[in-house]
Amino acid sequence: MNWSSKSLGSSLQHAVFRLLVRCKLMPLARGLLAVVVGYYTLLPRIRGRSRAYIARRFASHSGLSGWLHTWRLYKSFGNILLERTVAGVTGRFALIDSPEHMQHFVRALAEGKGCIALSGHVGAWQTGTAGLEELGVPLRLLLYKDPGDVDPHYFEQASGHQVSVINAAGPFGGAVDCAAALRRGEVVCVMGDRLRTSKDPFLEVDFMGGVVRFPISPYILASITGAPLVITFALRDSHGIRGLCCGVLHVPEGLRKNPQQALPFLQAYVAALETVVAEYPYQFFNFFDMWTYHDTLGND
Amino acid sequence: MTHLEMIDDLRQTILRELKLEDVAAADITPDLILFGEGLGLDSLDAVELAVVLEKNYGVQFTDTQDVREAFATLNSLAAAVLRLQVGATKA
Repeated sequence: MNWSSKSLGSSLQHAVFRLLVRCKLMPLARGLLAVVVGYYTLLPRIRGRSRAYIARRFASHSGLSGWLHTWRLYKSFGNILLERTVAGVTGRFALIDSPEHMQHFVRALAEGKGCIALSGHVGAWQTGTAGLEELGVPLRLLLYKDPGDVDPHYFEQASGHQVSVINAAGPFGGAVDCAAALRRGEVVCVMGDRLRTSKDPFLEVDFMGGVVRFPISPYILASITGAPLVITFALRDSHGIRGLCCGVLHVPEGLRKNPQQALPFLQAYVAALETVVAEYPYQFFNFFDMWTYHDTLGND
Repeated sequence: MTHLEMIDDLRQTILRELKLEDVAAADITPDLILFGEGLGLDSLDAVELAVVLEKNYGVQFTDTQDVREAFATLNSLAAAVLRLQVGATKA
């Protein structure tokens, strides 16, 4: 099963939630979300999207247990999306101050080559970027936007944010724009857990007991530009959204023609991802079977 | 440097810096498409090339559309580099 950034909900559905938030009808928004989550949990083609992950993550995953894990996962995702809508509409972010987390970025940016924030589809990865705005430099999010992707990001719902999207579907896959942003000393946020197309350079690494193809273009970009890579995730707990740094990588020159040398850097990222999945099992949002290969991907 | 001299210089730069070991210089004709079809360079080659152009020729492309047009062929790239160098000199 390929991944797609196409939204499950229609533009109208998203607009309804935004309206409820704008009118301060949060109990109604939460009630509607509960109905939507229940519906998607029951719908076989949607429930099936998380089956591969749930089977690997939870020892007990068949029958009622499986349904419960799926429901909790979708509820967690729904809550994070609702929180993103609240952030976009009201400007209020449930961010927890993480000075130590920010220091990693400050030190990385001080090297003068920009910085690559390497994250994944985990936790509140979209709203979590708001915390990085404190750095005072523009943030560029490299994302693949399907034509059917109608989920507006928080910074697309309000003005005043120094955040913009570099569309990976654009010219040169957005890579030239990323390099230009890094040259200007900016932060480029890249997701390291999904191949965009079957032509993307990758290496195979063990992840949760199975082999997965992970992209190595973030490491190649770091190698070419000299920018440091900060492995970072934004995770939701009972207090709010917390930034977590899992390492800073400096990739040497020359990786482009020796891609196998990306392996230790990729392994560091994957190890961090496994740690996060172990501690926050309901905040892993890759709703497709990462362990099954396809000759072509949905974005080919 | 003339346009033809720049084409030749860029051809050698591309071969050397992008380490295209299986490609002969004569294969990279002035109107060969560089990215995708033709020579088959990819997005990361584009990044590498942009870095090399800045380092070796002192030119920067600030707009993605300019990059797309300039990087189409050796002909367009040579024209763009010469134009940017002239622009930098005047500034």
